Amino acid sequence: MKKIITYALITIGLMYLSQWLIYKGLRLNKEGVYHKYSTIFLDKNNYNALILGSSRAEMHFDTKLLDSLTGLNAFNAGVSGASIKMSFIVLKSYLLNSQMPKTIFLEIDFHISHLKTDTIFNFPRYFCYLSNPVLYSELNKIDSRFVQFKYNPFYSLPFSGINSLSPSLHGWLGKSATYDFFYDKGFFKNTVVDNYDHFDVKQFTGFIHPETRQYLDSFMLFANKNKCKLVFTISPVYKNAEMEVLNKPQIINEFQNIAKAHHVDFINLSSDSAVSNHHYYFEDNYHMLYLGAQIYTRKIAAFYNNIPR
Amino acid sequence: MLFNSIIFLFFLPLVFLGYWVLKSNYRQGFLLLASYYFYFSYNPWFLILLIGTSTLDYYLAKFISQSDNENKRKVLLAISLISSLGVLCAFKYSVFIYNSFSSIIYSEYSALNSIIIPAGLSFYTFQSISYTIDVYRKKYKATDSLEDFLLFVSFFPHMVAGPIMRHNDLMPQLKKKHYFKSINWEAFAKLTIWGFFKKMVIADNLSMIVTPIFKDVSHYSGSTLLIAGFLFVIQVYADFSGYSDIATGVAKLFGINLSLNWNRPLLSKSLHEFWSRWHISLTTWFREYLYVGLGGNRKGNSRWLLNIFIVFLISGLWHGAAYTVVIWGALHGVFYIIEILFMKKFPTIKVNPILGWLYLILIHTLTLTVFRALSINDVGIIVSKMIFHFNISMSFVELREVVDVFFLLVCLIVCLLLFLKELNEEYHLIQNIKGYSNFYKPAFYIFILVSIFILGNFNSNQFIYFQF
Repeated sequence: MKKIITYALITIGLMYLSQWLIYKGLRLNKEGVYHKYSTIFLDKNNYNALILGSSRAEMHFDTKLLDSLTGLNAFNAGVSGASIKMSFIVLKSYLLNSQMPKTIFLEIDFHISHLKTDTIFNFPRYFCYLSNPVLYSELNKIDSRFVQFKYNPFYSLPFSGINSLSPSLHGWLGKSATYDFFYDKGFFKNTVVDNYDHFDVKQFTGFIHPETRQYLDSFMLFANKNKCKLVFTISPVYKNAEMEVLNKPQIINEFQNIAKAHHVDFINLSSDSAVSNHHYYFEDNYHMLYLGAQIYTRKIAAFYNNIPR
Repeated sequence: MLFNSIIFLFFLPLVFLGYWVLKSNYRQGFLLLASYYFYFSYNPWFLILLIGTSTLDYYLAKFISQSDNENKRKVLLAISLISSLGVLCAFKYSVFIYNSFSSIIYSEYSALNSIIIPAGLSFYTFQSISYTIDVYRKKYKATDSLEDFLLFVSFFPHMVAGPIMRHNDLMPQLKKKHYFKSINWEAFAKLTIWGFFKKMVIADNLSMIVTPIFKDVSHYSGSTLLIAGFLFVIQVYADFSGYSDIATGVAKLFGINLSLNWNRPLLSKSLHEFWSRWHISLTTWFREYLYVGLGGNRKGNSRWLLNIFIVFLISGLWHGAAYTVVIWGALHGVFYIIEILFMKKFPTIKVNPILGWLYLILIHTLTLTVFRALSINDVGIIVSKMIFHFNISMSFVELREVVDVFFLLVCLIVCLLLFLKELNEEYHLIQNIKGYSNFYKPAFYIFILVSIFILGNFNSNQFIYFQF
């Protein structure tokens, strides 16, 4: 019996040690996606502009280009798979250590605004940042398993899986991985062209889910209270996506009306013909490649510079 | 219910607790109910099939045992075989036969294509058949208790993927009174930990490399296909022997010893040796009930070789209803016969063990590559690629397209660990060093347990042999 208890204790100890080593390694990354998340959730920052949204925000806002054209010091905090609700959680978690930005660009995903956001996309990537109490408590509200993810390595490590080992090792060794160079100030330079079928169109009628609306309101209220300039943006989609969302003009109109009612600037480039009509600017229907992102960022900068302040 | 599923984590302790809390008279009944629940969780309808076929075999065996009339006994045996094999064929081979004919006549979607094969059908059918044949051969009398027989067929640790147990091996153990203090905890821990490691860390991670390559064989060079074939050899072994290890370990919690099903087959130095170590319970089954039935080696040399070939061909068919699998069986039969003829011609020749091992691995890899191919057409592509596009320098680039270098490295290390462990067991390399039992052995299993959580694939992938 004594032996069994000893073995069990050693196993438990090793599991906690492994968890600490893996997550610490991820946080030690000085480049790449884990460095980006460390910047958002753990570092003290003084950026005066923040870009929020999903992978579309992450891949479409070239922060360095935006800085050079507008004089802003922006950070791209777009997180792949993030809903408006998740973007709000990212903002609140960011503000725990960092100062309030003067400007927030919130990328609107009109094509998924009808979805209820009761799941967290790719949730294991947040495990190593759960020491951020705001992030932890907000994620735990959505998914109660986060208590286990934070405190129980027997539960969390199988979810982190083998995929977290390589970036963790890179972190400990201070080396960069292949895709780490694609990140710059949170912007993901998307030059990877998959064999994506651009013509895969699934038609549906969209709408703004009450929860999406609720979190848009939260954003607007929060920005107003903190004297922060909020800008809603919609980046270009490939022309096929126009066919996909049957009532696209209506939905965008609704977003525009919400923005207008709250005096929020609204930049809609979803059908920008200079980009939308050319498949070589796109990885798929909704994600632009680096070339498209540059055109879009320039246009955003031009709009921003013309907004009266 | 899979061994590597969350529900099994609750099921096993509950069954264990229930079994040992109950009085010994009720334990068998309880274990039978638990086994049926285990099977019920796969598909409730197939439980009816399991109960139906095993009940029928029980009564037929009983009548065979009671009868002295040889003709009647033969008829009863025939009914048992036809019903058991009929069910097996209906589920497993009807689609194959239908597709084989329909592709000649016309090609059209058939409802047959949507037939689901009951999990473990081939295993429990063979177990049941062995019982009726043994009773017919008067090896032992039929059991009087239906409950005993139903549990013999459906004892949950081994029901869906073996080992295929013999009546005289398992039945006395099930009937025996067991004592809690006699549970072999160490064996349970070692077998289950190592079994889960083989399944979740080795097999399931290797499948991440193997599956995409065999999905699109025309995209890869011959050398990459050969590497994928070799990885599949390890995947199948780790997957199936992992299941057997877990099954054997779990059975120990109820005081039951399942028979050895895998005896480090990948360390064999000939095909002959390989088949005495690989899936032992099935090989023995084929030897005793098919090979002997065909006449074995009693009817002259050519008939003997033909019998061997037939056994391998049917063994191929047992593994799956597809031409690729039948070819795999036939190839093994041919190489096995060549080996026999070679040994007869040169009885004094001693093959270098390393050369023998390399030969075995090459043959096993090539034949299993055919087994894994998705169609006959793919087999043709693989063969042509291996002959005309064998480019080892391309393989690393192609493998990197499938998974990253780190993942490849992890797979390489865990495969190496598997071989080293088996080499140690085979040749007793470090057993005698000081502190082996008290330190190195427990440290190894703790390391393996932690590795399962860190490196394991927790997506509850089915065991490969469930489909056989």
